[in-house]
Amino acid sequence: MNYKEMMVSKIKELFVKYDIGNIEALSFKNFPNNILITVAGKTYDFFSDFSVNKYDEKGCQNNKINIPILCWRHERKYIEMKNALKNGTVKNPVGMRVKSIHNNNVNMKDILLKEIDIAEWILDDCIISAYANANNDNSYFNVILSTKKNIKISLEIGKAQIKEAIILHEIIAEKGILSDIPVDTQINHYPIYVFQDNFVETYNDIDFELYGMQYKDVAKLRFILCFYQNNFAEKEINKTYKRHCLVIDSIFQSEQNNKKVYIESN
Amino acid sequence: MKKLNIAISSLTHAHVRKYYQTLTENTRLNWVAVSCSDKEVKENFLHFGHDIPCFDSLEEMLEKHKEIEAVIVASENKKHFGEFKTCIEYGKHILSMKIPTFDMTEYDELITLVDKNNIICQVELELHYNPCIRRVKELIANNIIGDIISFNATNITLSPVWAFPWQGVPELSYGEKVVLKKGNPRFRGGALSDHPHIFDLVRWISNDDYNYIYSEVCNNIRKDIEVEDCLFVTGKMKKGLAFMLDPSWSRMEERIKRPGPGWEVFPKRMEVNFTIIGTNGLIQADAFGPNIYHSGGPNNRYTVQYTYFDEWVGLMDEFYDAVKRHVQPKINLKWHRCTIEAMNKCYESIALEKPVYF
Repeated sequence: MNYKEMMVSKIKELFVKYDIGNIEALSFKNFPNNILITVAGKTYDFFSDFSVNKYDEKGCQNNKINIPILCWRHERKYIEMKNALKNGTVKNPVGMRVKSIHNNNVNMKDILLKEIDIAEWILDDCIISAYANANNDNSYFNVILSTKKNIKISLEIGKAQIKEAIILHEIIAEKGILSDIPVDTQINHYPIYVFQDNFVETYNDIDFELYGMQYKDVAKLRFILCFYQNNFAEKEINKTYKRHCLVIDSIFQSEQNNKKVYIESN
Repeated sequence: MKKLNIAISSLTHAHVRKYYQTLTENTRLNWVAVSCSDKEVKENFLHFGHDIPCFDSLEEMLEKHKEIEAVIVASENKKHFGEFKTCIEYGKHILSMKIPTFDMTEYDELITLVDKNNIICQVELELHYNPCIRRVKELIANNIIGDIISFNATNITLSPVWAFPWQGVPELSYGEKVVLKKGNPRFRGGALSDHPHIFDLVRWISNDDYNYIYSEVCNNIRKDIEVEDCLFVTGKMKKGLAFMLDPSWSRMEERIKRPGPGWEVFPKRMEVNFTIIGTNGLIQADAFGPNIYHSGGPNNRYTVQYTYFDEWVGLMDEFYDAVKRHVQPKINLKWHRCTIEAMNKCYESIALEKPVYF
């Protein structure tokens, strides 16, 4: 069974196990960026290439609704970061530091959208302004965002000639610091390291039901499952996505004019 | 080898305890005396058990010990100008703490006085003598990651205010009481005033100077200080290099009077870290690694224990050489002026909510 076949099989298993309904059609575009699923005659196009796809403001077009996969909301580490704030373990955030530097194959707007959503979702807040500067080809940005609750977010975000992404999310609060990187380290943490002659192999298996799926794809499938289980919150997701696109536009505008830009209506 | 007769004035600066160790261990230095007018600070000094005479004023110390050749001016930022002038009057060379003064008129007067009176004056920017930073500079100079796109650095620490209260007093830390921005109850003089290193290092490592700077200040995590504690800074250098700096006091502390084990709340009390993005790769560096880790101690908290700081070895060697050869050191008042200017413009940007150009 190849990876694509494994994904099809896993999706069908989940839908049966959690009583979602009969999958009438399942296909991919630009695998694995777009996953199209038809259940009970309704087709959703779950997409993750945000620079290409637009939110579907008018609702159903050609019987298909575009839904952006905000899959990081189903990554355990971000869920736990959000919980730590929600339950008051870490209280009253004032700032957030974000480093999100990826290899050159990644699209800039994809990274921006992800980090904007992670920040707003974990902080349970709304970005209202952006100040940005970038390099000549807009492949790297330094951004300072401000939220409704006056939380300041610094983003070091872009692409570089690196194999593995450098990721950091750190929240500074009146009570506590919250981070997805261990103290006194500079690199990502993995559950398994295999040390061999010339290299180190890492493994990041975090989901038993979806064992064998890649880390990113596990989160995508969990997002899709949750979408179906939670009565299709398509309006809310698309509203969020539309606002994020405004934030991204503001970042580019700020960079062009070297001015702080206030995001239009939320 | 003739030793350099050296003294310390005021003893109120956070780094002064490092000099107790350095002046004792460095065989090129003869520690003559200290001066301190504050009774409590004096008692703290005596607690360390150094057999060094302690005078009530800088003038008294310099009168009684004419053999002193150089003074480490370790007072509150506001008092540096006055102490510099006293040292210059007595013909003594100066090692200044990291902020000579934020007042640029005073700053320029100090440059003139130092030049006119042939005084050797070095600024304590000890990270120039840090081996990790030296390696980073070499890697960049050797083009290992290609052209540099962005230089991002943190100099984040706990707040020293409880051990060194003057750092929470705007008039003593910044030099005057200037509101952060209209409608904000806080004043200049907090974390930004305490953390010049990364503003200096971006200049040194990139061999360039500032084009513009932009900053936003967070709400305080400490509600009982009237100066800023968390902020972010970005901007560009003249040749186009971007930067993102974090000079915050974002690590919480146990509010003990005498810094020591147990003053950390967050396991790691201080970091100077870099993420330097280039066209052919990226460098992540920790200026203070590697470390050890323990719990136990007064509060049984998991703590990062730093293993070695040898920056003061290189720093004092340079000062000694500069005085003995009578040549201004590399890290002097003129070099440092642009860094102080950048920090001032950072405050300006916070007030104006826009980038400030140089």
